[in-house]
Amino acid sequence: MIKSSLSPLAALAATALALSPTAALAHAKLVASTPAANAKVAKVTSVQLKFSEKLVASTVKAELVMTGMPGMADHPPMKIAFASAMGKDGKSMTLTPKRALVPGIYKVTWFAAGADTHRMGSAFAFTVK
Amino acid sequence: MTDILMIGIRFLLFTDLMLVMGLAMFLLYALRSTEREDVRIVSGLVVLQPWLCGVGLLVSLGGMLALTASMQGVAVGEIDPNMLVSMAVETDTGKAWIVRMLALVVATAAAMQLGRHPRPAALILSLASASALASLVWSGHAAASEGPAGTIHRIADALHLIAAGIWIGAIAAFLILLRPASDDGRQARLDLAARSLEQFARVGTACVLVIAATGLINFEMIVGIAQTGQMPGSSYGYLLIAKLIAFSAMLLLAACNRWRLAPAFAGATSEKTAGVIRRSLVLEASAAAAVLALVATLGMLEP
Repeated sequence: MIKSSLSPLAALAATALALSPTAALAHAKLVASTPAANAKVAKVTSVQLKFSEKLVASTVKAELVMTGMPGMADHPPMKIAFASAMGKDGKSMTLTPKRALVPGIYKVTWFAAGADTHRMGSAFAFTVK
Repeated sequence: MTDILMIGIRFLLFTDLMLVMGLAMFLLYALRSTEREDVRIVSGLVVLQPWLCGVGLLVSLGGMLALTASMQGVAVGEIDPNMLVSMAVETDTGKAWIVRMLALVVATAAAMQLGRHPRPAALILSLASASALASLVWSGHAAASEGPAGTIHRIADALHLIAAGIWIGAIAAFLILLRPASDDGRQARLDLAARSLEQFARVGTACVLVIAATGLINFEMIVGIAQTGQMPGSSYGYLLIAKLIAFSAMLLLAACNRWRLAPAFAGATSEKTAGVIRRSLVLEASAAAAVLALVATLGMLEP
């Protein structure tokens, strides 16, 4: 009786082994951005973030601050207001400031949780010439 | 801090739901219908059930609040209803939580009927608590696997939890039946314990086989059998090895009960033999608690 009731389990195990791991246990990570991290770019009207995993939209928080201006490297961090929109795939986000960014150094910080429920976050900087 | 809170919540939920389900199923597979209606025998097995269900509801609610707060990066007091709604709509973990809460409401109602309609109530309680237990699959690593592999991972994980719950609930049931209490139901309880301990061999063997097979599947999905050699390099690896050691201790004690203590107890049902087997069961329950504590921690760690 035990043997016959276990055969579906064996089939399950076999399929599991065949499908193999590739376990998508990954926390959400920033995989790319436009402008890229540490890039020097000419004109920026929006900032795009691409993530490795689908994000839970309500957990997403982003911040854009200007940390430097030409001739004033130690500019006190100044928050830039922007409108944000999640991409249709749930893995990307676009921050659109009201005006194109003036020359300076900018820092983007984000926090969000993916389907694995872990809250993640990171920051990167770029320069507008 | 958050992690310790979440680990505690996971431990309580695993233990609580496994006890509810395991004790309810014990009424079905171990007791004859006359025994199920004998208050002196079943009162110990059923009296805690509504409370255990209530604890399950409260801890599950607390768990969702703590998880939402950590995902949103706010304090528990700052959670607003919209955040909970978005958890329920946007995440599988949230949907599983709703299923768990509904299942626990049904379980609570069934638990309160155990005295009046023992068999149907135990049946509904078993099914509802098994659903609640299976929903915990979405609060661990199995939640993150995608596609068909993810489905298999979650089925395996659910079976793993249910088989473990049947075993752990049975340990609790035997301890309740063997408790030292001198009333007129004592002898009937000891006789039932002696008989069901001997009968448990089949159920127990099936549980162990299911646990081992599904455990292997989970391991393949989370770590990968090919990566076994790297296990002793991470805290996940150490804790998993510790879990396997505690599990082996449970197996050894169970084997000792099955082949030595249970036959001796059935042959001569006395205070002395009951005491011996009770001590062995307390050790087995301690090992089970260690396994659950380790599982609660492992689900929070990176493999």
